[in-house]
Amino acid sequence: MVKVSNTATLSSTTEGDLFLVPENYVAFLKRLTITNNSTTLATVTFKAYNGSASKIILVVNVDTNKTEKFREDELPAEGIPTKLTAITTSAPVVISFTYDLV
Amino acid sequence: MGEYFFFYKEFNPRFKPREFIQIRGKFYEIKECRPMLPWTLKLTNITSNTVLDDLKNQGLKARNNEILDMRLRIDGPVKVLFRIEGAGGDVFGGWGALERHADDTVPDNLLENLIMGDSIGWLWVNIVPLVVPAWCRLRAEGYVYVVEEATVKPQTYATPAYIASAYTASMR
Repeated sequence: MVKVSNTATLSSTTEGDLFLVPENYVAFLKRLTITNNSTTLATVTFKAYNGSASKIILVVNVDTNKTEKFREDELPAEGIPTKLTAITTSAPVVISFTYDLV
Repeated sequence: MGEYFFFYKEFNPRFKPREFIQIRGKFYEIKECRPMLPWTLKLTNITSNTVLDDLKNQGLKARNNEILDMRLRIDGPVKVLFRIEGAGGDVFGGWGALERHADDTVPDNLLENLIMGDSIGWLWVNIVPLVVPAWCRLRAEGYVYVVEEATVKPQTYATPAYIASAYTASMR
């Protein structure tokens, strides 16, 4: 198992990749922190990709200048086989995340 | 080990050099044993039953003078139907085809199979998605035995095990 942590900034309201899952691995999300640096409420939608098919796995509302944290037991437990992306309704939003590549 | 704890059996080599195995009516002497490099296959966006015809075309095969003894693991929201192809008679895999369903709750010691060369014991696989779209990962780990056909019938020999055996492999 490989543990990976990273931080991504969504600077626009278009869908952005948080991470791509390498060849034969499957990713499991373990921690998630979302900080809204914009001036309005941000609704952040997380999409897990399975090949070209996507599924919304989490939708989070974050107030201006607030941070939402999710522990492992508060996150979807299913595997992410291809990639994880996020879309926000207002930017910028900073997302820190930890995932296991199994 | 996780969920495998209760059913887990350590996977040690089944044969040592100078032991014998019977395959398709012939006897082979084990010359050498070494670990197999792990084999992995990941499929994504599975929306309907997917037949892999067969795993030897995906790289899971042995050389003609080698026997591959491997255990498979399944990950993902799928059910997998294995069928042993190239079965060699009543000793190796039964007559015709032997089919078994498995998913990721099946411990790997129940998903063991032997492959010899590219014609005996290889696996046909049908992946049935439990959710749509599903993903699936198959992993195989095990041992490679270099063998040589014996000129006489040995006094003791093994008959190989295979996936969820209809009858148990036994040492005679």
